[in-house]
Amino acid sequence: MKKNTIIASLALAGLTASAPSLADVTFNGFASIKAGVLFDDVQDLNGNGVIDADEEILGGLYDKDLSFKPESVFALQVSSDLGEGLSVTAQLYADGRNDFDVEARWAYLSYQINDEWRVNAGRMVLPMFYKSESEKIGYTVTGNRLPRSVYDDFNFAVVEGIRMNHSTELGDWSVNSSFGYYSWEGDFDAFGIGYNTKFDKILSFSTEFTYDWLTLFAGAFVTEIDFSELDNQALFNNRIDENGNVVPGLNAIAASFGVSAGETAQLRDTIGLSGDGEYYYLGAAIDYNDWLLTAEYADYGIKDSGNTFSEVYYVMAGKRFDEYTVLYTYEDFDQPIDYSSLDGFSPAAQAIGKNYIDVLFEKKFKTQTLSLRYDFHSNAAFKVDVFSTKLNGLSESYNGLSFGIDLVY
Amino acid sequence: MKKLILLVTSLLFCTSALSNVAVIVHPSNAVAMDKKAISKVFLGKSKKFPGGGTALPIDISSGGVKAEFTKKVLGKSESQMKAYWSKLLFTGKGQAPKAVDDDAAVIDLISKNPSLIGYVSKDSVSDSVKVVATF
Repeated sequence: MKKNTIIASLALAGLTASAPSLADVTFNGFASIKAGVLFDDVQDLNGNGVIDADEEILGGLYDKDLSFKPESVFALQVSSDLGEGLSVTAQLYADGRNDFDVEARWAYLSYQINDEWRVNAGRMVLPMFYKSESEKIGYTVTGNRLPRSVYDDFNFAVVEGIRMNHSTELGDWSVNSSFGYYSWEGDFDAFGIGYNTKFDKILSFSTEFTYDWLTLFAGAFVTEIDFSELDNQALFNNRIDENGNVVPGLNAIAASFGVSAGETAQLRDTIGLSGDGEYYYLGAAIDYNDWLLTAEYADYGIKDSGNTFSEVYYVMAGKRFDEYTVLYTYEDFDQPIDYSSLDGFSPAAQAIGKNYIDVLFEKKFKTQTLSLRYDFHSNAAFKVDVFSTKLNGLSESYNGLSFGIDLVY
Repeated sequence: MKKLILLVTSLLFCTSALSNVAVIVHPSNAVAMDKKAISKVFLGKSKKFPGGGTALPIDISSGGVKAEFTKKVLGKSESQMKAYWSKLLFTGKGQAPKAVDDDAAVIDLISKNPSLIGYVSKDSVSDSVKVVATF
């Protein structure tokens, strides 16, 4: 009997000891259910039989059929506080764009070193631009989406590595910064095929200074990008296109124009996408007496490659009226053609190089969006917006509409 | 008419009962805090009391005093606060203060721990805690 009592006491003690850790597991989540439609047909402007990236509207999210899929999102975050500053978090995420395949968008161990420093290690979203980390949390976005000119759904957004988060105060300003070292490996889609790609030695820095109603922000990351599979299979060697036709690669074209083997090798280095990636952003946000203003500018590209630098920005202005918010957004995406890397090549090699740069990277658009948000519930907001996009060189606009509900729980 | 007077009186009474938010700390805490300092602690921007010492905010899950505190001291609506904390929570940068059910629970916790700071309706304040500011 006594033995049984001891065992029972031990079991109870065990239960009591494990109870706090069970109680400290928290579940949170966010979701978006959205639909959108374009009022105008997307056009195959260059007549190559497919809608290229530079011919897409809103990154190809919607067409003339109302769709509930592309921008609907579900996420569940599980976090366990292990005590003494240590915690572990996993965020399971699924969106319609990827057929609701569940992925761990965040999965990291976090340790609060002291009041100012916290270290996170594991899988995280790269702070590529100001709002990249929270891009998919629709509830934290005023309208239905962040401007596509900057927030372009990059497939290398989720990276593995280590991050130091720092927060401090400078007089009346609070300063939050992050310093990270990451890598990414995955498939990069081009011409309908996924090519294995690596972003190595990603060194990232981001910071924001907040004074009551004003926030100033900036950030950058550099990385060594290895696009060799895409370079070799899609650009340099012949490839088979969507219709089963052989598309001659740079090697074959250069040979047919009599470009020497040595110069062809140099041309491959110049046109190929592998190189040093550089990404920068800066901007400011104001939230004053329910007036809202945010402007962000970003500049990025791959040095010493056929990828010319993109210059993108947006300006958002709005006003809150109690539970309603009206927001106007103007955004501009420009990837100016730059042939300077071809200086010094023979005329034939220059002509080939220019052709590649033109085909791969000429992309320009301007979009205006008018959004209305209605916070109808303490955990949910209804949003509707109308947008109008002008593509490079076109006078007419593509118009569309989207609406939906964002919630957090 | 009598009903109307009763309604108006009760509404007035409600308003006056809700219009006083008291920010409270442990009686041994000699800190002096203004709206800005309180706001920083409740927004997670500062983890210390102005004179030093760890400051841990305690929130209330819901209700009139929460809405009033959020509006008057933090200068935001509850939806804005939800968006603010969601952004931090889902990006690994912080989490909202622990929330308890009512004034009594806030007072009970604070009376036992000098690191805590909370807010309650002014009418709920007891001798076991100290008021640092009212709004």
